[in-house]
Amino acid sequence: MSELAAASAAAFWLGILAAISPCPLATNVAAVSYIGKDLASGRRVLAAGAVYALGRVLAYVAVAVLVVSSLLSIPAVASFLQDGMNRILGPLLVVIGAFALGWIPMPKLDWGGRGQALKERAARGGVLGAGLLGILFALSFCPVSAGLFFGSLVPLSVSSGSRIVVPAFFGLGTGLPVVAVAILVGLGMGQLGRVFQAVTRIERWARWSTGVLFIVTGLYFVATRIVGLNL
Amino acid sequence: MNRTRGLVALFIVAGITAALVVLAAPAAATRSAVTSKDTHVVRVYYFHTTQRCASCKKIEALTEEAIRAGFGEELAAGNLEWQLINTDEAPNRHFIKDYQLYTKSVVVVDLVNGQQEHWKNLPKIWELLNDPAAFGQYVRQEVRAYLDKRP
Repeated sequence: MSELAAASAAAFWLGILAAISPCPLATNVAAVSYIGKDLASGRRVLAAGAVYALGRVLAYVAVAVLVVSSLLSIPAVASFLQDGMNRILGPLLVVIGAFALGWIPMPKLDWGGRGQALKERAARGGVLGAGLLGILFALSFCPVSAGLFFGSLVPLSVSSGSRIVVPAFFGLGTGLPVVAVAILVGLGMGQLGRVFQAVTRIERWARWSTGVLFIVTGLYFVATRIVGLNL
Repeated sequence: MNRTRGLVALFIVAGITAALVVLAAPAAATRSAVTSKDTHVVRVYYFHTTQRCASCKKIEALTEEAIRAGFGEELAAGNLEWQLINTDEAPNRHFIKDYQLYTKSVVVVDLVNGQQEHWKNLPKIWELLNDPAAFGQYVRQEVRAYLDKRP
């Protein structure tokens, strides 16, 4: 096995370790709910899962390139991604949840039929939304992901001379459990919905629960990262 | 004439060399005496923040357990120290820059006569978090390596 392949496999495993630790549990559950909410379409769930993983890959590659190229100092980046991003994340999740539940009306755009289609897609939270969510959740580092990324992955990236491929495998690893669960849930629920001919009802319930989950997760982040409660 | 000058120069050089040897000898002896009495202390830091997550508490507990189980004598004798530092507190913020901290970290430091000689951040604690036996072995191995760095 070549050195790059070995480093990529190690990075993939580090990513999985980061994903299965308890600290990203809240964002993982929110991500599963978001990706799996289009229960009727297995293809849409698969696409959302793939784009979510791609979002994570892009985020980790960008941070790794900046750090490995010494454009940014590790303590400064790590501090911003753990403290700053997690402070932003809470209120942002509450707002996204409020949009999903229709508590905040979508802005009125007079773009004719195209505008209407865009509005509907935005309200449904399209595949692109999954990618943005992947970037957002990846950049919200917790102690475990920061420890594994800066302590193990960055040195691995430097020693293997790979600023892109190795961090990309780390990103894939961090996204794997979420994508796997979302696909299983999505496809399984899709089958169930079709059997009971209740797809629309289940989808409506799934979207509502995703909105609620985002608000609850957002409030959790506000309470722990901004208010400073030890929950 | 030239020969006399050459002899005088030779005497002067020889005299300076002899003087240097005589002066240097006690200095070397003194240095060697100090070295044999040097104090060598290994300090293990656990750096945390005010916000304590489950994994962070687990790392603290596993590290402390590994040290107490493996180096009871050294701890009692004062050759090994275990310190918890909250980097959110203003007087401790310098540690972030000193040890390039990127998250909660275990750092092993080597002090000779109170002066820091070496330090190492132990990055694998995050990889071994779910394997307490391997975690303990890793920490003990790194601390042992530092204890063996006798001056």
